[in-house]
Amino acid sequence: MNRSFIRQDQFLYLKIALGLCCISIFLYVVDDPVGPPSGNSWLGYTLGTVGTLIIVWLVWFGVRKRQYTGTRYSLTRWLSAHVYMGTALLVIGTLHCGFQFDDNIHTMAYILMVLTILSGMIGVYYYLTVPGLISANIKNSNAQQLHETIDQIDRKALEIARQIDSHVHEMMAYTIHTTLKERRHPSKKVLMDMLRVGETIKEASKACYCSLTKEESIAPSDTPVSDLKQKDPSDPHMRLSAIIIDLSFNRSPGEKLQQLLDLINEKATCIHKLHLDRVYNRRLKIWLMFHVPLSLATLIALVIHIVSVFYY
Amino acid sequence: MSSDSSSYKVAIIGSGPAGLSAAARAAELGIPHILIESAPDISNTVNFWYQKGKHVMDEPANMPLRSSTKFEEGTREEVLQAWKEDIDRLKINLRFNSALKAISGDRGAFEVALANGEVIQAQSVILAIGTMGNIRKLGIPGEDHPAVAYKLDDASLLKGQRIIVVGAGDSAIEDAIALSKNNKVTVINRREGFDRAKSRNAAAILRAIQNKEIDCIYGGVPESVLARTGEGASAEMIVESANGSITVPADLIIIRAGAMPQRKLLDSLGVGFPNEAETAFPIIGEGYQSTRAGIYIVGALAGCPLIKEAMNQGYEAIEFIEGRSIDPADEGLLEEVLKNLPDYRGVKEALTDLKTNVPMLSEVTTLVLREYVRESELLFLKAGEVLYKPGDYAQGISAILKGSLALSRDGNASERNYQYTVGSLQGLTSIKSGLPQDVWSIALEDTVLLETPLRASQKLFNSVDSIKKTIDHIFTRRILLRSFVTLLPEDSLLEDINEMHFDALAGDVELMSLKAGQVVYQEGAVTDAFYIIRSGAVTLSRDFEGKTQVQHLISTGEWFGNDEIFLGGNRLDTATTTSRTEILKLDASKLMAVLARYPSIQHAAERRARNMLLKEQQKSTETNTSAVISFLDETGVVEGTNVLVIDEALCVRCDNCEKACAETHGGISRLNRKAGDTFATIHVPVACRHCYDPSCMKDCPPDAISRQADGDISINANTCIGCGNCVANCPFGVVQLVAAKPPEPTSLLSWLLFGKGRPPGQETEHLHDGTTSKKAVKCDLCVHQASGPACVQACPTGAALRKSPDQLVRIFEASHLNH
Repeated sequence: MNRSFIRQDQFLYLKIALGLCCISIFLYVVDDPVGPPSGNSWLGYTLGTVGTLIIVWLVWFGVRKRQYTGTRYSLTRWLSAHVYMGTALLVIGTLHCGFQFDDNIHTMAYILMVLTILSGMIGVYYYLTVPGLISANIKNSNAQQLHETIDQIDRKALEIARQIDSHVHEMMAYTIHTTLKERRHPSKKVLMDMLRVGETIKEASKACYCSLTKEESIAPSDTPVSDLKQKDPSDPHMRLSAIIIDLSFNRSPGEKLQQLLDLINEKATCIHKLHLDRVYNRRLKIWLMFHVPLSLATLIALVIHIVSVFYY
Repeated sequence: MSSDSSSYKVAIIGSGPAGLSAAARAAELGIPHILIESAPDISNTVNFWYQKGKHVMDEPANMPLRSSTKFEEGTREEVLQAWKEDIDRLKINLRFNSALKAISGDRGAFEVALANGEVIQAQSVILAIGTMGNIRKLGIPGEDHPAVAYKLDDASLLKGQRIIVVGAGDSAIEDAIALSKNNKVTVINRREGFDRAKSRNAAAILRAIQNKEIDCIYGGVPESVLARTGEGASAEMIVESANGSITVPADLIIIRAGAMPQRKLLDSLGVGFPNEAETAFPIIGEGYQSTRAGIYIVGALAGCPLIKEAMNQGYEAIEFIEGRSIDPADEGLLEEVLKNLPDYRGVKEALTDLKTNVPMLSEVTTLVLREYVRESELLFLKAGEVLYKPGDYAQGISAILKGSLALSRDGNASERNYQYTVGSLQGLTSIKSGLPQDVWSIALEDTVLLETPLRASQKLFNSVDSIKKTIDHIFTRRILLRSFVTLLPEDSLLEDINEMHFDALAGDVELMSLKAGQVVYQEGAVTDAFYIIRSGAVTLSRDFEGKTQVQHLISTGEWFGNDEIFLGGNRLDTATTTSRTEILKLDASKLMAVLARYPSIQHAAERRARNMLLKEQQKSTETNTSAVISFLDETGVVEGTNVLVIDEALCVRCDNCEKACAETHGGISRLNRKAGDTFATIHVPVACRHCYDPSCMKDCPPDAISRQADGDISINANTCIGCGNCVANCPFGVVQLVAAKPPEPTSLLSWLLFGKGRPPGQETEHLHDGTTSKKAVKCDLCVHQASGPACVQACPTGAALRKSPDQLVRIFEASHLNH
């Protein structure tokens, strides 16, 4: 975290932003304008000008981000300054208007500005937390490798299923086919299905293990199998689970079945990770969908605000 | 026995570049001659062994062609066509299908006996038979079966066949892999592995065998080839293996057992060799004459593998036979290089001076020396001018011909600094180790140097065993000097330290060539030596409460195992190689003897070693460093000088790094963020690491890849021929072969405001229509940008770093402590 944009240059931009805020507050406190504090005093105009300059500069970040040549300062510095100056704007903007709010274009510009800053703060929060979550979710790997792992699991599972029973093989092939289509963009539905199968299988393997070791006998009706069959007979995963569990009681299939159960479980874990990966990655982008339009809206509102102030 | 009625002045054996050029010169001069070729067409090597359409180069580029026949860079077909036209034009007396059997008689009256019984009278004989004429066959029954071949023309023409490849060398592996895509290939390997091949080839075939794409019979000895009747394959090979006799059916059997020098024939001709080695070339004297008077040897058989030089030799041999003394073809070039020397008297004299003044060159043959000088240029420094400064990478070797240089740590040269005088070499350590310079080198007076680029220098180093030894000796001495300098207090001058004090120590070294993962010494062993890494890297690890922890990473040009000598006592760590590593082992007692000359250094060394030990004891409770080093080691990061690493705890996956790279490099990003290895939050994307010892550089035909002065390995787009060798050789997959048009310039604002044009950073399409030739591209460290690498510059969160491996270790150590 030593090199993060938050700590850039030993918090240089935080210090600048704090300094700016302190000066503004000090001036606001000592200033004694005619009438209540507002934008319509020398301090109001000064803070307004400073605020406008900061807003224009903040919006310029969108341009700077896409300039790849001839840049003097790194984008990390720019982002650091962008974050702290944006936050300082909250103070400067508020002092500029002297806490005077009304239902007019001026307050509208202020609200848009605040919303932009808040969306930016959400962005900062995501930028600081989500990268770590992504790494922790897919440990020492990446999405591509996870897909490859699933491919391998599928191959192995098919091979084992073939050795167990032709029905199991057919079902396995079918589930692989259905997850294949959706795997590139794992949806919550696929995930939930897989998780349910995983849960069922865990129960089933427990039962299977007990019956194999004969330490304790569990009647088939005690397992969730019968429930499953009745609940959703069309669901391929459920049907597969049911078949596997049936098999485990009726034919004592032994090790092979256990292997298959483990593989399906492993696959469910992978799908879960892929789903989380997608959620996290989306989180890193989605706040921008608000931040960028809001900042443009702020800019437009700002122009109207300034024109109207000078016109009237 | 029939006999050729006419007598010739010269008989030329072999119609390759050298022989053809000799015959052409003879024909031009109207000398009675005969050119004898055993094959039914000219130049067997180019004609038969070169693949169809192969690009033939005219190296060395700056050497003038001296021949009566044409030769220009082009395809194999164009080159052969030009030669055939010249044969007709000059009316060369050429006889095909005539193999040489024996030569009797003496100079002036040779009788050249051919295999078909004919005898040719000639006054002189030029042997230009090359080395490829004698490929190694198996000598087993049935080898003449039509299914047996010794080369592969075009792998893509064969589909659905059963093919046997005999051999375990590079050409066997390349054939097997190319064929395995559409055919069922069985490799018959006499050995148990593929250790004779390039490591990359070996890895590729082992992988293919593991994936069952290729079958391999290890320890297999071909016994015979039999014709097969009935269904399926046309032949079968009986192979003796550990599991008994195996019959392998085949439609095609490719035998790749290498080529042999025609030693037997040459011995029978009475041509002398320097030794019994199979690879030895015949002894050649003045004017290309062999030890048997009147028999001349030119071309590849004379140790000259390049077409243009071979042609020059053929031409010159005729001139010598005619009794004319002729200056070598490169005389003008050498004069160009040397003429500005102070008190220049002529090329010959200047070369003699070079040999006397520069000890390294004293034992080199004239031919090698001429090539070395041809590639070099003179450099004139005025007093006070800087040759190099700390951080510079040497571009080659500079030999001092006049004047002297001072080594300085602070950039101020005075008489009191350590000095290099006439004859000593500059840039050697940097070249050999891939490390940048660590001191200033400044001219003390007006100084003249002979600067030779990297490739020519390396060629010289490898040309003669004695030079190799001398260079290793100087290198070891310099590394010792360098290591001692690091022990000196910051502000001390280098006046008291003398490179020659290390001479005896450096002269007594043992070279250890180790594979990856080999142990150099064990923790607790007796300390009797210390080591310098010539290439590769070593980790020092320690057993800590039953767990092995890596403490240090030592890379090329550094010494290790010395701390225990300073401290006294047994080994504190276990030293293990991380990759293929060459280590110089030096005697501990001799180090102490040298150290005794420098009491202040001895003191400093002991203090440093003690401090290090203390720090390590604190560190051993901290497992992070060990794990980070292990990861950087496993992923090959330690082989790099400047590696792109992404801290995933900061990376917001915006891919702005890739966009920045594409935008600054013709629309093609040279880095792949998503790919690569990850450990905890350290991600090493696929991007060039600018290795100490770059594999990409090793086999570049036009020499287009080089290390620049600031350390980056760059590919010259103008000279790259797109052969793909670097792509295949890079173990990290960072070089791409691309054909792409540079993207249209884009206006950022018009895109932002109106959505017009190409988004900045978008990659361009790769072209596959063949209109643009492919070039190899990779990271160039953005040397053209003052602000540094665009990927790092464009990272919004500070996640992307481009640093050296030891800087990375420090950064991630620190980052762990801050978590």
